[in-house]
Amino acid sequence: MRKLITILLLTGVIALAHGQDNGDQAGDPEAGGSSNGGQASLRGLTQLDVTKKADAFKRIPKDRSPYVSDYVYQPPLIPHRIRGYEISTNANKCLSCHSFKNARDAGATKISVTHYGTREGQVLSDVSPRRYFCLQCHVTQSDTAVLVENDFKRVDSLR
Amino acid sequence: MNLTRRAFIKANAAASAAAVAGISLPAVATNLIVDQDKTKISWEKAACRFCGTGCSVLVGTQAGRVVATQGDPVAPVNRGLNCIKGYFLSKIMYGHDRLQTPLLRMKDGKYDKNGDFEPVSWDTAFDVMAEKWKAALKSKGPTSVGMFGSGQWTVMEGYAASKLMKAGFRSNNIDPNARHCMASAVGGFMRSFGIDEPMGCYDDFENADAFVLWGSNMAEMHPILWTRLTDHRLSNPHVRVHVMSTYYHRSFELADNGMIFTPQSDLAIANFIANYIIQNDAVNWDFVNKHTNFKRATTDIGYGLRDDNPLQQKAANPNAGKMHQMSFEEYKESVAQYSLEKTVEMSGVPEEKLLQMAKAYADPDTKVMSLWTMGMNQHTRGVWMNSLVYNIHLLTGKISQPGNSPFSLTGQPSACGTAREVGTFSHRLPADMVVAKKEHRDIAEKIWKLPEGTIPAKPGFHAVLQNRKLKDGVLNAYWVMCTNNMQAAPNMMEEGLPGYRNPDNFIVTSDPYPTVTAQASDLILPTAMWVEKEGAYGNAERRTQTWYQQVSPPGESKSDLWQLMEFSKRFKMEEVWSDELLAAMPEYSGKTLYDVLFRNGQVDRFPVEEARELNDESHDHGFYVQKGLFEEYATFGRGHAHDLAPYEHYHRVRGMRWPVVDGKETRWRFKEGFDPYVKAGAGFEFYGHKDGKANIIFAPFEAAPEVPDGEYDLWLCTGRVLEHWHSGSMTQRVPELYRAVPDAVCYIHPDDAEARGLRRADEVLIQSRRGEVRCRVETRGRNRPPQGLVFVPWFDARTLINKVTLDATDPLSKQTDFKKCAIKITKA
Amino acid sequence: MDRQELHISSMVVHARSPYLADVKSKIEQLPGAEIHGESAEGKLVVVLETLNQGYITDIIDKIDNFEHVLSTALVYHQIEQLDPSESDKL
Repeated sequence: MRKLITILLLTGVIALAHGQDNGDQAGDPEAGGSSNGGQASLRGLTQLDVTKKADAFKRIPKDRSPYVSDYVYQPPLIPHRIRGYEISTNANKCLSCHSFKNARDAGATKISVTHYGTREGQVLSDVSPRRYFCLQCHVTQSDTAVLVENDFKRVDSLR
Repeated sequence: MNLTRRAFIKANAAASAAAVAGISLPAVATNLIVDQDKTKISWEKAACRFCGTGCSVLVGTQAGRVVATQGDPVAPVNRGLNCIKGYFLSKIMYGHDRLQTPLLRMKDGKYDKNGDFEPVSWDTAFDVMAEKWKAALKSKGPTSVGMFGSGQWTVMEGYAASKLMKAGFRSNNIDPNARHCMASAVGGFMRSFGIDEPMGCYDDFENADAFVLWGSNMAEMHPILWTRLTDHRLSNPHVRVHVMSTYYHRSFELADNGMIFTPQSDLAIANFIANYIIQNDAVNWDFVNKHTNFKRATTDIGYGLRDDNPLQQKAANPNAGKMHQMSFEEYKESVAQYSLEKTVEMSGVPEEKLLQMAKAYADPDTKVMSLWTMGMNQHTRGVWMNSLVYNIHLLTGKISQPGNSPFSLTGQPSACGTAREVGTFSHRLPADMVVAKKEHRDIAEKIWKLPEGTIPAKPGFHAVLQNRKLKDGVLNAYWVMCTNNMQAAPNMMEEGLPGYRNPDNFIVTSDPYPTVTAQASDLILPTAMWVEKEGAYGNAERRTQTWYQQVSPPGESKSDLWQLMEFSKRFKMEEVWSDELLAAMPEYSGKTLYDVLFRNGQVDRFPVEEARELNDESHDHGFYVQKGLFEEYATFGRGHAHDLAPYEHYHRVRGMRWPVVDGKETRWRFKEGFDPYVKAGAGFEFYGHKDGKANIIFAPFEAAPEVPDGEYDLWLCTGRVLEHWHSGSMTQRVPELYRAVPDAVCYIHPDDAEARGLRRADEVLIQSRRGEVRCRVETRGRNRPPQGLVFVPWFDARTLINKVTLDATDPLSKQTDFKKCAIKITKA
Repeated sequence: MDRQELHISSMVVHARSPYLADVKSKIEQLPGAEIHGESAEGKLVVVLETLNQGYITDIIDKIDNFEHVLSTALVYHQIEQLDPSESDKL
């Protein structure tokens, strides 16, 4: 009995997995069989010749608590929306909250003092120009499930 | 905060500083928490896995896994910085769907082209594969087997692959994905200078007074070089940044002079600047007279399309690369047609912006660094365009000196080191030599201990041609390594996919992950990546860097190098060489390709004891494989202006820029005082050409092959994004990077969207004459195209934008123009 | 109320090797500075544990100005909130 249930469950899972790609399964046997050979990729099991429907547009949460880092050198992720932020030679919206001067009043995370170092290792009194474009290293996160899980493991002691 | 955590952080802080200083800490200091090995992170250097910048990173491992990465503070390239991709290198190897075993398409327990993938052993995989190779060789000869490789191969892997194909199977049908990326740059270098790769180096960033971006979004594609440029611009108020592109992108945030030009009109802009320099008497006559020749390119050369394509048939001189002598007066007259007025009209760039840029080049006191990547290389006139920019620097003598530097940026981590220097192209051999020249083949055959006539003289099939030949059933046994070409190559629906699925063909893909290329193949080989093997990369400034293997690969994964060497064991010389050839070296009778290519007394010269304990390839083969291959390869370039240092040296330093002569690297080539190959008293010497002179090559504007019309009314430009590397097979599996940029969207001008009844986030159908894809539109993102053009990145396997693109190439470099084709967009 | 911060940073100090002992003893006298390693060619691994960041830059300047010090390079910096519910850092 238990075996039967397992089989039924498995069948259900497979049907579901296939269902996601609704009807995109048809391979053309004339052209060398199924174009994916039953192997999933980042596009799932949708055949390569099928025009896949676009995934939903992702949203970025307006503001949330800081993300926890997985290792000590990871640049912190941005826990809020940044649309419309100007970072150019004229202005840097990020620093208006995250600079050492403003962070306390803004309730924002301070930038690290590593950002004060020049290429040559000299420490400046303000953010080094080489760190000026914040979005080279810090990015927002959309509120979405991943395509593929990642098995990276954190150092035990950090857990 | 508890004491343990504090101690842990301090231990980490100490360990990373120690790694930087090259000091090994006493165990007690690195291990403050408790005396368990488990808590100790060991740090070693490696080159970043992604772009051509060549940042060095420190990789932290613990208990056989990578647990952290950080920018390498002592590396001259990046001085402790990484971009967002680099900071997440630690996760690229741990996608849950890493391939663990070989997978073969089977039905009823046997290989079947129409079957589904099932796990098989390496033995079975190689048995089936060797059988297919032997069948192809037997029925149609060496031109029916081929390989598609990568600028992400290590130097040793590319070298082993090239040797296996060209010397072993005697087929020149090996080409790297760098064909899609750097071939036009190579063409430009060879025509203008007779020797490949930039004369300058990254030190130019700290020395220039003006930067001109000719079609490169460095802020996203070379982020760490962009930090150097930004640093210099913001620290020195006199410095000016000119940015040209066909759409607004992130690099414009730093631009003092941002210019949006009509696609293809960069040809006119470059000629206008040359014209401006001549008209304003800014020619550096001393330099021009001593060091340059004037040449004219053959024109009307077609578009690298199939020969029966009407556009190709219309061309008067299809694929013609011949250059003709011309005088300065003739050159002057040729560029005179590109007046300011006409160039404004052609390019759509306002007069004052063009002038601002032209003046920077013309002013003898302004040191100018020109930079370009795919905007200029992925161009049906890419080779011409590269030379047109060199013309400007040669006319003004602004070259080969600190800050005066025409700089071709490379896309991939070893496009220079592996694809170009090793010569994994279908027409090349190591150290800039070519298969077409007898004296070059002779040199290679001698170094490789092969009989004269082993290497075929005819260039093999280049990247785009390989897909066409697969479709036509000419190329039948095909191995794709370290690249995702089904997603990357143009015109997937008409060429790539039919080629792979052609029942006459057997396609093998080696990859760490199930990519769309793997899906379309018949056999998938699970592959070790990055620090799961020892390797070397060569970056865009001629810097060669090495790293040691730091962890073991998962499951049965094996590196590309191991796979190449093991596969070579399956062939007896009698099966791959003619009796006649074998008679020239009878001692090779009865031996295998492995014996002849890799156990030749050179590659196997260094004992396994010299290798690290963790070095899978060396311990499996019984000698220090990477060192042997590197040293044999290095003999090609030593004494020929491509000198490399001894292999061991690279493990001790953060890379060196070739030519490395007497232990010293070369920062500026062709300039006396910097380059040891320049004769004393010459000042400059462009020794790639016999007369020591560089070519100023005139080439005119010629239109793009497919331009928007009434039906397909928009230009499509494709490209990359900061957060993803190429086809996304690694970065889309890192949760943080995926969530940063989850989907490829279509960047469109708000008015173009409105005219089609579209709002931001709407799903659209993008169609060309060749294929269609669906995605969502973005009207407010980081890329802001002008009206009439849209930008779609190619990283997304769910979209596959190359179903739509055109397989037109530069007829000289054979590099695809991924930046221009005509499409239409409708609401889905 | 101000949250208490703990700054942990590390740097490489390069001194003329004959004077290494001298430089070391000067560094050890600085509050919060610990030497975690050294090499024959005169490189020191220094870890700082301080309560605010201004002090880090001060101390780097101070070490930089010591006689026989050739260079200092800040390698690592982490801010820890001493309030256990907070774990921000950059």
